[in-house]
Amino acid sequence: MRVAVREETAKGRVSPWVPIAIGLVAGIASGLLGVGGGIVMVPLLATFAGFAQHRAHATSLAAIVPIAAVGATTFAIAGEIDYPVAGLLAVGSLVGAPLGARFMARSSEGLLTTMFGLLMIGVAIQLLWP
Amino acid sequence: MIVGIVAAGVLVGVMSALFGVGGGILMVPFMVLALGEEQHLAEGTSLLVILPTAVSGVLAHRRRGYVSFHTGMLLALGGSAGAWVGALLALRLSADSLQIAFGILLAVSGIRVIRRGVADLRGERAVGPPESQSGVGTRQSREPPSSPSDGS
Repeated sequence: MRVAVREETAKGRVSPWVPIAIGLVAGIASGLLGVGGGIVMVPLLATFAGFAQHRAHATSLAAIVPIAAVGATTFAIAGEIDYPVAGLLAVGSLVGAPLGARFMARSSEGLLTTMFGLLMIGVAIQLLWP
Repeated sequence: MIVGIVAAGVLVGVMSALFGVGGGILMVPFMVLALGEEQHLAEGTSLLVILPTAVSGVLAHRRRGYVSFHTGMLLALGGSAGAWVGALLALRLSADSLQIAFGILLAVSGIRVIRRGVADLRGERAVGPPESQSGVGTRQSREPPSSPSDGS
């Protein structure tokens, strides 16, 4: 089953333009809103590239590295970064990331996805309904 | 204060690895609402924090074999161009406009993700629940009984 997933994505059954276009949309969202862009990439990879959720999550995380680097640099040039706060948040998140990865590897896909979606809705309501 | 920010960072890190996002979803509202940061400053700071968090997450996932680097590079190609355009755009927009855009993106994506998640849960239940997950050291195969996205 794992081999089948590999072939689906690696053997060119999905045009390379699909992930490039997904990246472009995610990158604009990332730079515009200060998020990684996984919020865009994960559902689009699942829908248009046939990725299973675990793979979509992990792969989008890899793409987030250069995307966030470009965005952070652009904001830094404009002087829009609070470095002390960034340092404190980074220390905490580096501790939390391995914990999250361990939990992800054990949980079922449906539950994981539903939890993620509920989180997104909750934050959205808070932003649009202050 | 300092402890609170670090604790928020831990939460962000867990979410980041768990959902394949950079954690900005949590960080930007946290900085704006709890720390009183200006929206643009919160976004720039968020992007900087995402960087080491994502690197750490990728390393963890790579060990489990979930990362497709081929697709990741193509995503990064389009993504880098988009990130530059998006950031320049953000620097020209008002904080209020950015918050509304943020909320709309979250709501639309959230609905889509929940629908997928519920469909997955139903599918797994229909095929049959994995037998008694008494697993303490569940290192054995966690393959889903069937992949709903198999057919083309």
